[in-house]
Amino acid sequence: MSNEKTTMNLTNIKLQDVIDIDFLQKFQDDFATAIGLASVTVDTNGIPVTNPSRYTRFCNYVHSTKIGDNRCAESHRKGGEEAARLGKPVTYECHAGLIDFAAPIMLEGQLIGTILGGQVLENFQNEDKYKQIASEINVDEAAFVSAAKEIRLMSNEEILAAAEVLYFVANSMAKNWYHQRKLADATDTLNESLNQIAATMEQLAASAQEVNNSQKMLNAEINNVNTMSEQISEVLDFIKEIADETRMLGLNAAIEAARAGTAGLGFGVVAEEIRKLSSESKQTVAKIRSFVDKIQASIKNTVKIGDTTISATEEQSAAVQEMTASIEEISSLSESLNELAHSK
Amino acid sequence: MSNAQFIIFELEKQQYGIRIDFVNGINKLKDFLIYNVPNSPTFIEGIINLRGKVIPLYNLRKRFNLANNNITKEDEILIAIVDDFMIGLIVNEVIDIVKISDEDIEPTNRLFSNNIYSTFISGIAKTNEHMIIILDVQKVLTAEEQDLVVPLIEGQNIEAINDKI
Repeated sequence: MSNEKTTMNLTNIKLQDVIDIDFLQKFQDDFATAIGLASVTVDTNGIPVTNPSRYTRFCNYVHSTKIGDNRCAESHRKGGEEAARLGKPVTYECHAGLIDFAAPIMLEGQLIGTILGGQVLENFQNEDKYKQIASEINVDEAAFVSAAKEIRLMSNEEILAAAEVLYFVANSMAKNWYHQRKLADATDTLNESLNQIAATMEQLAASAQEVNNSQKMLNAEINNVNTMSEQISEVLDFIKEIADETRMLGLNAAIEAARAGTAGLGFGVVAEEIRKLSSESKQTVAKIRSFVDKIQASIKNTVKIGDTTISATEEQSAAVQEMTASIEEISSLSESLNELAHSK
Repeated sequence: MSNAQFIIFELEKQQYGIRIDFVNGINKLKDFLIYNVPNSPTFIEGIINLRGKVIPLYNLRKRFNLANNNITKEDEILIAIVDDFMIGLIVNEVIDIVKISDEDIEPTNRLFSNNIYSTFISGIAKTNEHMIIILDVQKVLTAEEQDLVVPLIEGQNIEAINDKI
């Protein structure tokens, strides 16, 4: 899940999202003034996101007609494409014969915008070339040629070096944004996970408490059973006593019957039956007593196991508490991190 | 009588039998107060009041010279009739009344030489599970003992016993 989130979807990323345009504008203006060349930053569709810096009169003439404007746009698009293809700043001759540069702004290998600039010449060639262009784009030939003469002369090396500076700054800004954005996403994920863990911990603590309570109730119930089995024991003592009395009665009756001779024969049979009954009762009592003993042993064992469960759940609760405290610490760290990541 | 009835009792794991004609009844030792009689033989535990009659209590364990000779509260008293008076024999437990035929009783004169301790043994009955010592209850009291015990009873009436408490 974390892998999906750290690899961001960059297909719909806009230049404005990635770069502080105000800062770029200021930098672009100052840079253009310092070096003496024009510059503008466009998005992937070729639409400017900054105001043009230090545009020449020559270029303003070109942009004054629809056809000139279109030719410029086409020229920029081509230059931008070439720069994006190569992944580095390039210089080229524009449709009007000036030297321009195009520096790609890339994010993870994907083009998000282009810095265009230049509007300089390596050397002034001849007026005819500019008259020809003026006629093609429907501007005044004489004024156009005079504007061409104002074009600053600069070596290709110098142009490329200037482009490199703009390329480096813009891409650093993009990269910086990208890293911050990744950090923000990571801390968001971290926060979310921590919240989930905290919730789970709460559930765990609650269920441990529940187990603990249930076990305590169970132990109390088992103790009730124990008390009842003790009462059964008492009743058994009583029954045994009765069986014993019956046995004595039977024996004495048998003795009397024997002493009565033939007259006591019938009575002797009854006496023997009574003795048998008492003997059976005694055996039954012994059996029940052995069962009760087993029940009590089992109860003792159950209570012991129950106590183990209680102490285990108490340990569990303590561990959960410690863990919750640790998670709280991590959470506050993560919040600080998140604030940092989301600050511009 | 070739097929007499016997009361069988247990004393320290050994079974003994007494002909039912010589038995008056069975009681629990714990139901009685035992009164000590001074100067009586060691095997006389004391006397009891059984329905108004003074009965001397015989400690058979002592009489038979058994190693463990203490009475317990679980013990029972077998009231035997010797001649004209009754004596109480302290036993572990009366367990049964059985019929034993004469053929199943081995006379003791074939088993023992005559000695003072075995004169009251009239025979050994063999049943499937046990050897039962048949006692001649009349000989449990030797002539000399009778001389000691009988005056003991005749010299004291119930009132005299009660006065002693």
